[in-house]
Amino acid sequence: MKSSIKFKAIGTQSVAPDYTSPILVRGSLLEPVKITPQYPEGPWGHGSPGCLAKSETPTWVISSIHTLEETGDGIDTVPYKGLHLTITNLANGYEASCMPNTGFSYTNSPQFTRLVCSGDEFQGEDRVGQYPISTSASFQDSTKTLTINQTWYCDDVNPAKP
Amino acid sequence: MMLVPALLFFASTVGLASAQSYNPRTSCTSRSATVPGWLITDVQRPSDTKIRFDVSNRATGYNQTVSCALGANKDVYTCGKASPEDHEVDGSVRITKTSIEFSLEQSWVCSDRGKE
Repeated sequence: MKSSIKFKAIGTQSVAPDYTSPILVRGSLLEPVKITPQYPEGPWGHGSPGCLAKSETPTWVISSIHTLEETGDGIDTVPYKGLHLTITNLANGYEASCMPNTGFSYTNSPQFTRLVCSGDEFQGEDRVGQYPISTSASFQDSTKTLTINQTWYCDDVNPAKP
Repeated sequence: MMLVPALLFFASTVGLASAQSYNPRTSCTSRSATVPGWLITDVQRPSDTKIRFDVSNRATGYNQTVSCALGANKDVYTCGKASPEDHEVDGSVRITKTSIEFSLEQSWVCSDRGKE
Protein backbone atom coordinates (compact mmCIF):
# COMPACT_ATOMS: atom_id res chain seq x y z
CA MET A 1 0.00 0.00 0.00
CA LYS A 2 1.45 3.38 -0.97
CA SER A 3 1.42 5.84 1.88
CA SER A 4 0.57 9.50 1.38
CA ILE A 5 2.51 12.29 3.01
CA LYS A 6 1.10 15.80 3.24
CA PHE A 7 3.60 18.60 2.82
CA LYS A 8 3.08 22.25 3.67
CA ALA A 9 5.69 24.86 2.92
CA ILE A 10 6.13 28.62 3.21
CA GLY A 11 8.66 30.87 1.57
CA THR A 12 9.43 34.52 0.91
CA GLN A 13 11.61 36.07 -1.73
CA SER A 14 12.29 39.75 -2.30
CA VAL A 15 13.40 40.98 -5.71
CA ALA A 16 14.36 44.35 -7.18
CA PRO A 17 11.80 46.04 -9.44
CA ASP A 18 14.00 45.23 -12.46
CA TYR A 19 14.14 41.52 -11.57
CA THR A 20 14.65 38.84 -14.18
CA SER A 21 12.09 36.06 -14.46
CA PRO A 22 11.70 33.41 -13.16
CA ILE A 23 11.94 34.18 -9.46
CA LEU A 24 13.12 31.34 -7.25
CA VAL A 25 11.35 31.15 -3.88
CA ARG A 26 12.96 28.71 -1.46
CA GLY A 27 10.56 27.20 0.99
CA SER A 28 10.65 25.90 4.54
CA LEU A 29 8.49 22.96 5.52
CA LEU A 30 5.74 23.36 8.13
CA GLU A 31 4.43 19.81 7.63
CA PRO A 32 5.08 16.90 8.09
CA VAL A 33 7.90 18.34 10.21
CA LYS A 34 8.97 21.94 10.68
CA ILE A 35 12.31 22.15 8.95
CA THR A 36 14.28 24.36 6.59
CA PRO A 37 16.26 22.12 4.26
CA GLN A 38 19.87 22.86 3.58
CA TYR A 39 19.70 23.59 -0.11
CA PRO A 40 22.40 22.25 -2.43
CA GLU A 41 25.07 24.91 -2.85
CA GLY A 42 25.44 24.63 -6.61
CA PRO A 43 28.72 25.06 -8.47
CA TRP A 44 31.14 27.79 -7.43
CA GLY A 45 30.01 31.31 -8.35
CA HIS A 46 26.92 30.14 -10.23
CA GLY A 47 24.86 33.08 -9.00
CA SER A 48 27.57 35.77 -9.23
CA PRO A 49 26.05 38.97 -10.57
CA GLY A 50 26.88 39.24 -14.28
CA CYS A 51 28.12 35.63 -14.47
CA LEU A 52 26.24 34.88 -17.69
CA ALA A 53 27.01 38.22 -19.37
CA LYS A 54 30.71 38.05 -18.49
CA SER A 55 30.87 34.48 -19.78
CA GLU A 56 30.08 35.76 -23.27
CA THR A 57 33.68 36.97 -23.37
CA PRO A 58 35.52 34.60 -21.04
CA THR A 59 38.43 36.19 -19.21
CA TRP A 60 40.93 34.61 -16.86
CA VAL A 61 43.56 36.19 -14.66
CA ILE A 62 46.76 34.18 -14.39
CA SER A 63 48.67 34.60 -11.13
CA SER A 64 51.22 32.91 -8.88
CA ILE A 65 53.23 31.79 -11.87
CA HIS A 66 56.35 29.88 -11.08
CA THR A 67 58.51 27.39 -12.86
CA LEU A 68 60.63 24.70 -11.41
CA GLU A 69 63.62 23.25 -13.18
CA GLU A 70 65.68 20.47 -11.72
CA THR A 71 68.49 19.00 -13.74
CA GLY A 72 68.66 15.82 -11.68
CA ASP A 73 71.76 13.79 -11.27
CA GLY A 74 70.60 11.04 -13.61
CA ILE A 75 71.09 8.42 -10.92
CA ASP A 76 68.68 9.02 -8.03
CA THR A 77 66.71 11.94 -9.42
CA VAL A 78 65.33 12.54 -12.89
CA PRO A 79 65.33 15.90 -14.65
CA TYR A 80 62.14 17.82 -13.97
CA LYS A 81 60.76 20.94 -15.52
CA GLY A 82 57.42 22.19 -14.37
CA LEU A 83 55.06 25.13 -14.64
CA HIS A 84 52.69 26.03 -11.82
CA LEU A 85 50.07 28.77 -11.97
CA THR A 86 46.70 29.93 -10.70
CA ILE A 87 43.78 30.67 -13.02
CA THR A 88 40.92 32.91 -11.87
CA ASN A 89 37.77 33.07 -13.96
CA LEU A 90 36.42 36.62 -13.83
CA ALA A 91 32.85 35.53 -14.62
CA ASN A 92 32.33 33.55 -11.42
CA GLY A 93 35.44 34.20 -9.33
CA TYR A 94 36.43 30.54 -9.48
CA GLU A 95 40.09 29.93 -8.80
CA ALA A 96 41.98 26.86 -9.93
CA SER A 97 45.57 25.87 -9.24
CA CYS A 98 47.42 24.14 -12.05
CA MET A 99 50.40 21.86 -11.99
CA PRO A 100 52.07 19.64 -14.56
CA ASN A 101 50.25 16.45 -15.35
CA THR A 102 52.89 13.85 -14.65
CA GLY A 103 50.65 10.88 -15.25
CA PHE A 104 52.03 8.02 -17.29
CA SER A 105 49.48 8.51 -20.04
CA TYR A 106 51.03 11.81 -21.15
CA THR A 107 54.55 12.50 -22.17
CA ASN A 108 55.49 16.04 -21.27
CA SER A 109 58.34 17.50 -23.21
CA PRO A 110 60.17 20.72 -22.40
CA GLN A 111 58.29 22.27 -25.33
CA PHE A 112 54.77 21.30 -24.32
CA THR A 113 53.32 20.97 -20.83
CA ARG A 114 49.89 19.63 -19.99
CA LEU A 115 48.54 21.04 -16.75
CA VAL A 116 45.97 19.57 -14.41
CA CYS A 117 43.92 22.12 -12.53
CA SER A 118 41.71 21.97 -9.48
CA GLY A 119 39.87 24.48 -7.33
CA ASP A 120 37.56 24.31 -4.37
CA GLU A 121 36.36 20.82 -5.32
CA PHE A 122 39.82 19.48 -4.43
CA GLN A 123 38.85 19.99 -0.76
CA GLY A 124 36.32 17.22 -0.75
CA GLU A 125 33.94 15.01 -2.61
CA ASP A 126 30.88 16.71 -1.12
CA ARG A 127 31.73 19.84 -3.09
CA VAL A 128 31.27 18.10 -6.41
CA GLY A 129 27.62 17.96 -7.36
CA GLN A 130 25.61 17.56 -10.49
CA TYR A 131 27.42 20.46 -12.18
CA PRO A 132 31.14 20.02 -11.66
CA ILE A 133 33.50 22.76 -12.80
CA SER A 134 36.40 21.27 -14.71
CA THR A 135 39.62 22.91 -15.86
CA SER A 136 42.58 21.81 -17.90
CA ALA A 137 45.38 23.80 -19.49
CA SER A 138 48.50 23.42 -21.54
CA PHE A 139 51.54 25.52 -22.27
CA GLN A 140 53.42 25.58 -25.55
CA ASP A 141 56.93 26.81 -24.87
CA SER A 142 57.93 27.67 -28.44
CA THR A 143 55.04 30.11 -28.90
CA LYS A 144 54.67 30.93 -25.19
CA THR A 145 50.98 30.09 -25.52
CA LEU A 146 48.83 29.10 -22.58
CA THR A 147 45.62 27.30 -23.55
CA ILE A 148 42.78 27.03 -21.02
CA ASN A 149 39.82 24.66 -21.28
CA GLN A 150 37.22 25.23 -18.58
CA THR A 151 33.56 24.31 -18.01
CA TRP A 152 31.51 26.37 -15.55
CA TYR A 153 27.87 27.22 -14.84
CA CYS A 154 25.90 30.45 -14.44
CA ASP A 155 22.33 30.87 -13.22
CA ASP A 156 22.40 34.50 -12.15
CA VAL A 157 19.87 35.40 -14.84
CA ASN A 158 17.65 32.32 -14.61
CA PRO A 159 17.75 30.48 -11.27
CA ALA A 160 15.64 27.71 -12.78
CA LYS A 161 18.58 26.58 -14.90
CA PRO A 162 20.57 24.54 -14.42
CA MET B 1 18.35 -22.98 -23.14
CA MET B 2 15.84 -20.32 -24.12
CA LEU B 3 14.71 -19.91 -20.54
CA VAL B 4 17.83 -18.15 -19.35
CA PRO B 5 17.62 -15.00 -21.53
CA ALA B 6 13.90 -14.75 -20.79
CA LEU B 7 14.54 -14.80 -17.06
CA LEU B 8 17.34 -12.28 -17.36
CA PHE B 9 15.10 -9.93 -19.30
CA PHE B 10 12.38 -10.24 -16.68
CA ALA B 11 14.82 -9.52 -13.86
CA SER B 12 16.24 -6.42 -15.51
CA THR B 13 12.77 -5.04 -16.23
CA VAL B 14 11.75 -5.37 -12.60
CA GLY B 15 15.02 -3.74 -11.53
CA LEU B 16 14.39 -0.75 -13.77
CA ALA B 17 10.83 -0.26 -12.60
CA SER B 18 11.72 -0.16 -8.92
CA ALA B 19 14.72 2.11 -9.58
CA GLN B 20 12.45 4.61 -11.31
CA SER B 21 9.89 4.78 -8.51
CA TYR B 22 12.59 5.59 -5.94
CA ASN B 23 14.71 7.96 -7.97
CA PRO B 24 15.58 10.65 -5.38
CA ARG B 25 16.05 13.28 -8.10
CA THR B 26 12.51 12.95 -9.37
CA SER B 27 10.56 11.47 -6.47
CA CYS B 28 7.85 13.78 -5.10
CA THR B 29 8.66 12.88 -1.48
CA SER B 30 12.42 13.32 -1.87
CA ARG B 31 12.13 16.63 -3.69
CA SER B 32 9.55 17.92 -1.20
CA ALA B 33 11.91 17.21 1.67
CA THR B 34 15.04 18.58 -0.02
CA VAL B 35 14.03 21.40 -2.38
CA PRO B 36 10.58 22.63 -1.35
CA GLY B 37 9.97 25.88 -3.16
CA TRP B 38 8.57 27.59 -6.20
CA LEU B 39 9.43 29.29 -9.43
CA ILE B 40 7.42 32.40 -10.20
CA THR B 41 7.04 33.47 -13.82
CA ASP B 42 4.93 35.76 -15.97
CA VAL B 43 4.13 38.40 -13.35
CA GLN B 44 1.41 40.69 -14.67
CA ARG B 45 -0.42 43.72 -13.33
CA PRO B 46 -3.68 43.95 -15.27
CA SER B 47 -4.71 46.89 -13.11
CA ASP B 48 -3.46 48.92 -10.12
CA THR B 49 -5.40 46.73 -7.73
CA LYS B 50 -4.64 43.32 -9.26
CA ILE B 51 -1.52 41.25 -9.77
CA ARG B 52 -1.18 37.71 -11.07
CA PHE B 53 1.63 35.28 -11.77
CA ASP B 54 2.33 31.65 -12.54
CA VAL B 55 3.64 29.45 -9.74
CA SER B 56 5.42 26.18 -10.40
CA ASN B 57 6.04 23.90 -7.43
CA ARG B 58 9.67 22.71 -7.66
CA ALA B 59 8.94 19.48 -5.82
CA THR B 60 5.91 18.34 -7.79
CA GLY B 61 6.07 20.37 -11.01
CA TYR B 62 2.45 21.47 -10.46
CA ASN B 63 1.74 24.71 -12.31
CA GLN B 64 -0.98 27.25 -11.65
CA THR B 65 -1.85 30.91 -12.05
CA VAL B 66 -2.30 32.81 -8.80
CA SER B 67 -4.28 36.03 -8.61
CA CYS B 68 -3.85 38.69 -5.97
CA ALA B 69 -5.88 41.77 -5.03
CA LEU B 70 -4.86 44.93 -3.25
CA GLY B 71 -5.99 44.86 0.36
CA ALA B 72 -6.68 47.56 2.92
CA ASN B 73 -2.95 47.96 3.48
CA LYS B 74 -2.04 50.04 0.45
CA ASP B 75 1.03 48.15 -0.68
CA VAL B 76 0.10 44.53 0.08
CA TYR B 77 -1.73 42.33 -2.38
CA THR B 78 -3.39 39.26 -0.92
CA CYS B 79 -3.31 36.11 -3.02
CA GLY B 80 -5.52 33.09 -2.74
CA LYS B 81 -6.45 30.27 -4.99
CA ALA B 82 -9.81 28.57 -4.68
CA SER B 83 -8.27 25.52 -6.29
CA PRO B 84 -8.52 21.85 -5.34
CA GLU B 85 -7.35 21.29 -1.79
CA ASP B 86 -4.17 19.67 -3.08
CA HIS B 87 -1.75 22.41 -4.17
CA GLU B 88 -3.85 25.21 -2.73
CA VAL B 89 -1.83 28.42 -2.61
CA ASP B 90 -2.01 31.26 -0.10
CA GLY B 91 0.26 34.22 -0.29
CA SER B 92 0.90 37.88 -0.59
CA VAL B 93 2.86 40.34 -2.68
CA ARG B 94 4.24 43.47 -1.09
CA ILE B 95 5.37 46.17 -3.48
CA THR B 96 7.53 49.07 -2.38
CA LYS B 97 9.58 51.54 -4.38
CA THR B 98 12.72 49.44 -4.11
CA SER B 99 11.46 45.85 -4.01
CA ILE B 100 8.75 43.32 -4.70
CA GLU B 101 8.34 40.68 -2.01
CA PHE B 102 6.55 37.42 -2.76
CA SER B 103 5.33 35.25 0.13
CA LEU B 104 3.84 31.86 -0.62
CA GLU B 105 2.27 29.06 1.36
CA GLN B 106 1.22 25.80 -0.25
CA SER B 107 0.13 22.30 0.75
CA TRP B 108 0.46 19.19 -1.36
CA VAL B 109 0.44 15.43 -1.03
CA CYS B 110 3.04 12.91 -2.21
CA SER B 111 2.08 9.27 -2.60
CA ASP B 112 5.22 7.71 -4.04
CA ARG B 113 6.62 5.98 -0.96
CA GLY B 114 5.82 2.52 0.38
CA LYS B 115 5.12 -0.74 -1.38
CA GLU B 116 2.72 -1.12 -4.27
